[in-house]
Amino acid sequence: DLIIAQAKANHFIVVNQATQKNNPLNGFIKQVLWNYGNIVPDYLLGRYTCALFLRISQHLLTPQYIYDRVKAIGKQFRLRILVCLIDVEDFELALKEVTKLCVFSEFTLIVTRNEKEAARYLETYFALENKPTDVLRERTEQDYISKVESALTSIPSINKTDAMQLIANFKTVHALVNADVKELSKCPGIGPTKVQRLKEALQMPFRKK
Amino acid sequence: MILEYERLALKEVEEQDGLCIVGKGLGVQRIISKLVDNLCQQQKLILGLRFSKDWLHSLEQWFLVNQDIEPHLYPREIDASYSRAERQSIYHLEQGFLVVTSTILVHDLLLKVIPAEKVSCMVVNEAEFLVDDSRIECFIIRLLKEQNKKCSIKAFSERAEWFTRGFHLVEKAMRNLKVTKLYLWPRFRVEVDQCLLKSSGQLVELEVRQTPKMASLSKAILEAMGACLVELKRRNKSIDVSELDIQNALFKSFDFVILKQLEPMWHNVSSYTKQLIRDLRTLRNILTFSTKLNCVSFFNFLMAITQSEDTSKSHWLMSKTGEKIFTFAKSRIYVKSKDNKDLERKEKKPKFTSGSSIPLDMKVILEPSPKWSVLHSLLQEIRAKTNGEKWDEMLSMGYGCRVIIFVKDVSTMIELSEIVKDAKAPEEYLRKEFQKLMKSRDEAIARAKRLLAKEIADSENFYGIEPEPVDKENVQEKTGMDLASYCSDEETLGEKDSSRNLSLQVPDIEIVTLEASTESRKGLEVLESLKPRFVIIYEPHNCLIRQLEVYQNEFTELPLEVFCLVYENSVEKDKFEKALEYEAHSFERLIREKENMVVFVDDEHSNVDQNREDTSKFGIVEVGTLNRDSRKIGGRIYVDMREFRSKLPQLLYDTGAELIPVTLSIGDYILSKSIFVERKSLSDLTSSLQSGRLFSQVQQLCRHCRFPCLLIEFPPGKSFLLSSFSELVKELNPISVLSRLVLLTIHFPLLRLIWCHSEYFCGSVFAALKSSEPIDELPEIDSLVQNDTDSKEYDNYSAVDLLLQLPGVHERNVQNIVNKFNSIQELCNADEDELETTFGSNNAKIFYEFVHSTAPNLYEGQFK
Repeated sequence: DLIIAQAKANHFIVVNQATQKNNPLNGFIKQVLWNYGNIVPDYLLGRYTCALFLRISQHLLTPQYIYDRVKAIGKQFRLRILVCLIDVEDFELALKEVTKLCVFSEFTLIVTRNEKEAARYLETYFALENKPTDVLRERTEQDYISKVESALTSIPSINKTDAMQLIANFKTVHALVNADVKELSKCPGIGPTKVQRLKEALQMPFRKK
Repeated sequence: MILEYERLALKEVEEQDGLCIVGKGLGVQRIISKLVDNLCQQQKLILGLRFSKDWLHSLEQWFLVNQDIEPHLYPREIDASYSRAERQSIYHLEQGFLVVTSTILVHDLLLKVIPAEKVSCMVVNEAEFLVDDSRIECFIIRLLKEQNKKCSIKAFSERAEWFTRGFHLVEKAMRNLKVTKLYLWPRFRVEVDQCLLKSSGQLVELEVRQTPKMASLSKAILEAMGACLVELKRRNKSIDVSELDIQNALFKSFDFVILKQLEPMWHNVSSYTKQLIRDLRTLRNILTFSTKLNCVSFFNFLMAITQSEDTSKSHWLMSKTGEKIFTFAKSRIYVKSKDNKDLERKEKKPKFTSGSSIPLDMKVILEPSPKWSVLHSLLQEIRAKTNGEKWDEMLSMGYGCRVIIFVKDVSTMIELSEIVKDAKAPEEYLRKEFQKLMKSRDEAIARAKRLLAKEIADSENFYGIEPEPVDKENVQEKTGMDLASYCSDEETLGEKDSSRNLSLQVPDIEIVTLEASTESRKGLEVLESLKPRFVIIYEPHNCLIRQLEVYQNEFTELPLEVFCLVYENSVEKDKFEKALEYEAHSFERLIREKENMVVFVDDEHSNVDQNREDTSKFGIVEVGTLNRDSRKIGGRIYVDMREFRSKLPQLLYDTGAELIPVTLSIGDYILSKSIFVERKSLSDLTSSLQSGRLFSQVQQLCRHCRFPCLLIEFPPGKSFLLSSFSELVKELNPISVLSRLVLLTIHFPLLRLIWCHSEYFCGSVFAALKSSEPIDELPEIDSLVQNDTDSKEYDNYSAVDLLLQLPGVHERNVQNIVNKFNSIQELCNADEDELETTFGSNNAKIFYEFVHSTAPNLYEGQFK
């Protein structure tokens, strides 16, 4: 099939003509191209990736549906995704079922409340299929202020404002780390609990004994 | 000695277990101390919950003073530094008051290290925290009560308002505490009132007028808050606005009320609204500090705030009122004189002259806080009253010191210690503070120049030209000179800085800090030990005022005069009065609630019903239908020790699982041989995707089991959205959280995702997964556990978590670092060569630079 071959060469997303024809979700796929085609899954996102789409409201009406679909796909494709859109308030039981199904049928579950975001997931899976893991392995560069912020706010009860007060008062991390209780408490907003937490993180040994 | 009503309260709670809520400052700590004392004398094993180190110290003091029990029964704190064997031997002594760290206590209860049947009583401090049933303390009480039904529980709280922030919170707390009695001791209760009225001293409230600039400053802040509130109401029509007025917005509980209201629809709340809520919080902080800090520190504080705010998002910051706030704050420090305006325009750089380091057109004002002068005259009056021989007489009567000044935090204390020296001190003090401010600004300029010079030098180096070191020195010299000329007594400044002490050398005057967390104990302790003739309350303090009453009734023979300094018509005063009102109101509500309360009887049967009722509310049937007797259904689950901070283990316990606390190196929960789960809260997910930590964790997970699961836990009510609305209209962003998560699943197709919006849901999903696996089939644990619990790998989690956030530290070298260095402090004080061996040269350089580089200037553009 030409469409599927083209899709697998990463030209566009194929949308299942039979099941997803009237899905408003398709309208939100704007960042990449897509086309209807006759495929088994709901969406074909590349050579190795496919996706099913499920609305919780639909699942509540026809619980058997998703089991059949999952079964039909079986172990085809390396990565199988189930995008689950939560569109009712009473979703817990259904979501639990779907979660269990996904774990044991080896589907990757994606849950969202928003159609736009659901479409964004599909786009992203399509766009990133052949990307390397570099982004995941190393941290992104940050400027000095945000580095200090992310470090200090990892201490419980220290918030953004506290972090800024601290670095504004001590100027360097070196000075901050060597500060005593009195100097720390001089910063506005740093009470005894926060001082205690700071001391614990900065000056107490990594290991006790 | 304890007062009549305290004795009554103690008697009540000793007779029957219960929750005892006492008004702030009415001496709950003395009731507890006496209770513990009595219990210890019976030579029994007593456990304490939520007692801080500080608290234990006070308790020890009490024992030392009373001397009626032997030292080996003194309270003991048991933390991670005790090994399991040591703990066991302590428990088996079966006597004394033990305060065990919560996670260790859970561990010991689950594994039955502690002989629960020997615990005769559990004393709970700060019981207000138990309204939230996800607290680990609730789990502890449950485990204890299950293992020993006879153990009595005595709980205390002095924060009545916490119990009225929602419906039936007292009942909830009592259910969690498993007590049936509620004892209320508000200030207006007849017994208390009669007792305290017997001898009431003299309290003089001195209203201090704010300077016009201060008044307009707070007016501007209130205006900005008002604007936020109006906007908030306008944007969110559905929320109940009856409680959202500016009076309530002054309190922290306001955030609580509004978040509670927005919680059910949080996924629909716009980022604009969220920002408004943040803004209100920031503004409230600014408001509090506007009367508290002196003009220079306040300005400093304001600058740091602007740095932490996202200027493009924050609404007030860029508005007209926001500008006003800055103008007024600045105008308390300096004004621009008009004559020099033209001169300024010609020269863009700040102009320095030999006389001063500040720009010519700036006229430094440095407005002192109005309370300072009042304080001075007050002290003078007091000195005159008690001069010379008269004072000796008083000493012999039993007084300990002349004056105590109570303040609310250390920075005010340090400030006052300078101020009270003499009448000229305030000016001097402000000048020094201002000088520091200018210095940091000058430093910033110098640094900018230095950097520029370095850059030039670097580029020249590139072409083989020697850099000019002279450049740097020049700049430094210049700034140094400017400073010296502005403040002639720079040496004294240096000297002062080094000799700042917590105790004060000013004769006869003690300045005491009462911080919110310790006020309830420290206030009375200080009064009892110092026995003052006069007390000055520098910032109004409702807890302290009650403590003074209590103190006066204790020492009726020592008359006391109390002065309270409060700003006239100020927010400070409003807040003080409102807080008293609020507490009384809360007590009234609690009294009404007590009348209509359904007292539940704690037995096995009702417990099961309770479970069922609780869980059916959340739409989960399965959890409730498992009752305690069918424990075996759940089988065994390994739980990482760190996880006990969350509610999930407690809920798993509900499903009938047997929890085995261990320290896992892979994952957080091991449900069965093939299901390992790594739990990540949304914020953890974001940061660990950024730092690369999650990648290696998932890699490990995938190697060890068939169904590796990543549990993504959203904050309650804020469910299932990874990207903001604004992100969704933009193009694909390869480094957003969503993209990173997608990439992660692409590379680990085996990784299963579990999405949770609440811990209840999480528990039921675990139960569902576990139920389809063979019972009790658990993997060989040895290879997965870092070490046994007695010698845990990383004890100080917050230090290690912080370490991993520092530049140059990675999963790869963190092990080495922890082995080589003792603490973060030691690490930061190491020189570059030392670092290189553990970090690798590139990382060492990154780390060293981060630690030693100076923060960029926060004052950019403020002194133009």
